Amino acid sequence: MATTELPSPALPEAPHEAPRNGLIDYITTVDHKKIGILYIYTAFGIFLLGGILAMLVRAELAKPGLQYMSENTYNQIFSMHGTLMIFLFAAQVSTGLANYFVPLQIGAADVAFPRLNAMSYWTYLFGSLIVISSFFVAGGPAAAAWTAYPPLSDSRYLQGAGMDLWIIGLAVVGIGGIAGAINLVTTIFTMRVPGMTMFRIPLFAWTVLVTQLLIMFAFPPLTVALATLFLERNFGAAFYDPTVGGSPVLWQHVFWFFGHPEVYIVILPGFGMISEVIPVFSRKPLFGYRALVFATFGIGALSFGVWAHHMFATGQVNLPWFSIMSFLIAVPTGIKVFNWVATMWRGSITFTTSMLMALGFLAVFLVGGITGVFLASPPIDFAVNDTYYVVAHFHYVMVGGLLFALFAGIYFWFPKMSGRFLSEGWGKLHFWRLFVGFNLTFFPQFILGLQGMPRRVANYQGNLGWDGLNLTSSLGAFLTGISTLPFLWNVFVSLRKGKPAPGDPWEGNSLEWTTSSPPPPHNFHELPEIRSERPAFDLRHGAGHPGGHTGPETSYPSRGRR
Amino acid sequence: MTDEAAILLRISLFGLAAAIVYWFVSYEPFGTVALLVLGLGPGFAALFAIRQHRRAGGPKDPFWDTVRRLAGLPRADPEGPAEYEADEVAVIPLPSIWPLGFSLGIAILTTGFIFGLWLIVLGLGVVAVSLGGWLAAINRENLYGRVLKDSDAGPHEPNR
Repeated sequence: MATTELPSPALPEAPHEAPRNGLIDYITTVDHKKIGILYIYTAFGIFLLGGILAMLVRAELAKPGLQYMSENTYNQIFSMHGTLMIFLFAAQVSTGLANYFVPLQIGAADVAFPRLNAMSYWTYLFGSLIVISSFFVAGGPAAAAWTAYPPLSDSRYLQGAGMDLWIIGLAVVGIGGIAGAINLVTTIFTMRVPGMTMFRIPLFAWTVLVTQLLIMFAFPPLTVALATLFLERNFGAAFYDPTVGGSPVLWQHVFWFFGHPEVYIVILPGFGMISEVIPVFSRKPLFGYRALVFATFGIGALSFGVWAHHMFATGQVNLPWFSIMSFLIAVPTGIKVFNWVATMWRGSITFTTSMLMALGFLAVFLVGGITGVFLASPPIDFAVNDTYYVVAHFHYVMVGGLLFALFAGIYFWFPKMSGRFLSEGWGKLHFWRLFVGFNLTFFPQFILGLQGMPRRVANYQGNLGWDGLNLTSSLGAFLTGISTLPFLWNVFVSLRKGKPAPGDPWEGNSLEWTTSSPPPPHNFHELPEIRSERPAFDLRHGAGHPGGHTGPETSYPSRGRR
Repeated sequence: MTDEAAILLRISLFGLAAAIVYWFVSYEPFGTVALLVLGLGPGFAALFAIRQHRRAGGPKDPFWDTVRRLAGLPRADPEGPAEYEADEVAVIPLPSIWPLGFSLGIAILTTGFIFGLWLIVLGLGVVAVSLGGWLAAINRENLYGRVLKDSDAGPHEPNR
């Protein structure tokens, strides 16, 4: 199929167009690809720090009694583990990938507001540093868990600047998040190349769109919550103090109105990455493109109606509403799972590391999702609320929904970003260690939870039948931690000596595979005509190929009879 | 109506409907207000998008087309164009230190709420300088185009 060479006036040959990668170039960059890489590196640094904290938590819990730390230190460590992983890693790393790939996938030269994009990243970095700096102040970091419920987090029970730095740091990160969301939504709405209608953009771009819309409407309540908590701690306000007419339940409402959409902010881009990876390695078009798009929107919308299922045990929320809404979320999520399975059905599957990670995602996320349906039922929630059952469910969703999908995406897109393949051998070692280690860590926690072990405690009594399960969980956590080493080594070596990758190493579907690896500063020298949601496939096979789409009539090759 | 407006309108309809039902099942003020805001915000954006589309000369859809679009039913997609206009490809601005400076200023300013007024003043200063540099860079690029030094080229037509 013909490609259209881009007109030159928009892309002048300026001296700075030559790819340069010095420190100054990264500090002053407004290029979405470099900013994306900065996001990814920063988020991974935070992920490693959060992972070390997780291993400290599991080290303490491996045996009954207190071994390595005081209870207050334990509270600080698990609070910071949650904060780093949820706010500063999970929600941000996919923003990095979105920054890199959304403009490429929609055929744009950059995002809509490149300078604002740079500002979003730096705000994220400085906000994260403010949060991390709380380790170095008197009294140590925040110890009120990542949910920071008052009165636990107010100035009577938690003195010192650590909690204040936590509040301010997250507020600053939130500013960057909102600016980034405005930027990415505007980019997807207004920067698509002609022919790239909304219903031709790849699933990853769709999930990024929904995620960023969620950020736009979920982060402002978080900022409000943080500001009110700060005023309460430092300036004598009384939003959450019941003795003077406030209500601690109000915090839970505001926080969870952010907190539940946050879960989907974290996992929806993961769904998008899986929807990119599975069709490519199954050699089939994505099954049910439109169904997946609307399922994504369904999940996004419903996520705003379920916040108080985290508050069932307060006795102050409408149980039927929140229970029914939570059950309903399983429907679009189920549609997605069935569509992924149907995409693989009778496909010619290649088990690359990326595909293995995607399959690992399906297995792990399914467990997380189904235990979530149990938890949506108030009677079950009353019984297991604040036990390790919730911890296990949460990690199966977050790690299954994000981490496996993220690694699938990284093994898939690394050749595009660097021009080199990651080693498959190291990758498979990484996958199997991660998969075994993860399940060994968190599956025993379901049983621990059902046996009544509470979460957020440093110490437990021996001989309750919990010892062996806790030890298994801790060993699994260390195996998971060690599994990161082959990945880091793989990235380190492959960046230098990896096998060179062509522009379209996997025979991909979306537009990013039609440019060079890595792409030039302005992304495309020429663009193919967009006639379906698989422009790279159309370009490769063109007219005459049974799957190749050449006609202008519709964009649904999968709707016809084969 | 465009697909973009339809997306925003759907979120808006969900927010408004959820707010009404939620109020009558719970009589809980926070959630009702939050859901109303979720309804009104994207609704406003959707109306704005529809108006922009009409102003740009876009056609007014027949009623049932609008309903079909809102319901997400497939429509025929337009053919891709044979040629691209120059201004359809974005112009990338020059590298700039000011976004970093601005963010640093915000970070200094906000930590001032914990550690004292002097940090707030310092942060405001950094924000002001960075904002000045940022706006000056936009102005310069609009006047002289994307060149590294003013001497590289004379004034020409603005980029946008």
